[in-house]
Amino acid sequence: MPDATQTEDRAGGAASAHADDALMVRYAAGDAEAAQLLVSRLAPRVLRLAQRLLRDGAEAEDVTQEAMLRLWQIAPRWQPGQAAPASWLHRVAVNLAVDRMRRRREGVGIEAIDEPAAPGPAPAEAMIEADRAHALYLALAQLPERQRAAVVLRHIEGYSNPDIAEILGVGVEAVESLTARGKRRLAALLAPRRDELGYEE
Amino acid sequence: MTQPHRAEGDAALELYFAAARAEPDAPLPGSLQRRLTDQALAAMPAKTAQAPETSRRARRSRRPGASGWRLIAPLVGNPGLAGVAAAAGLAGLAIGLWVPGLGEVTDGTLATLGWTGLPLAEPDLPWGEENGLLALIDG
Repeated sequence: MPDATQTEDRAGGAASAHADDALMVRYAAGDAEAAQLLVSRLAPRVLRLAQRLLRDGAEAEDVTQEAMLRLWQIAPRWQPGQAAPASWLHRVAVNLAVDRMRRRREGVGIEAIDEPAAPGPAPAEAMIEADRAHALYLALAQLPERQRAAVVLRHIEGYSNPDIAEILGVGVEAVESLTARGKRRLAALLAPRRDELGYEE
Repeated sequence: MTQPHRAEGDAALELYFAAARAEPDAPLPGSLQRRLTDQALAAMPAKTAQAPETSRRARRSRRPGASGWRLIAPLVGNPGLAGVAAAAGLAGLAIGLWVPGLGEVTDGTLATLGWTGLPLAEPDLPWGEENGLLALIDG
């Protein structure tokens, strides 16, 4: 469920989309500063999303670069006020990531999943958090691609179901079905590790 | 109807999701930032100084004297003749003006510039910026 921060993010989303729209227009008119601002504003979240879907730093960078290239290519035909540039970009990134997941479906070994960022000299709880995140990504890697994308977008990235529907190009009911099935499968995959990962009822 | 085992499962999963959300965001690597910026600049359309109103008709409509040409055209009934009349009118108005580098415009000045009673430019040829004298007159 989206928390208060996510709600605030959504409230500021419209203004942010408007600013991105304006930058797209400036970029299409040949404004180099707009290009740099768009990279700074949009690329970090695309990279993070790609990393969460792929758990592979190099592949996530490739997806980010390819998605941004498509943004530059569509800029001259961009229609301000329609899709938000960030949503459009995330849709492209998710599709690119899903394509890559499909290509490597034949054999995603556990060793292929990047370890989470090292927590450093943190207390035991931080270690458990890192282990939980790693376990979650291992389980996510076993879901069908679109289920994985829907669960990541809904429960980690904090998108609403209508936004996910737009990104995945499906209806809201399909998103609900994808996330529900994905969560059932995740619960089953993670159940054996409940004690180990410190879950308390 | 509430399903206790499902609610329990959701609560357990939420711990995992929270752990994933809590992972620190890595900053955009500098090398990737440079690649993305270079790529953006390479793909950037050429800078456009003005709105892309580039048709010949649009350019012609912005020329000095064009509004006069539009006024005269219905009266004369022939766009070519209207162009001649508009140019002649403008050239006539120019006489007596002081033009830097040329001095006072006289009949002789116009003759030096090639004015022989024919239009300085055909209606389809560029006026304005391309013809400094007429631009000055019109301004």
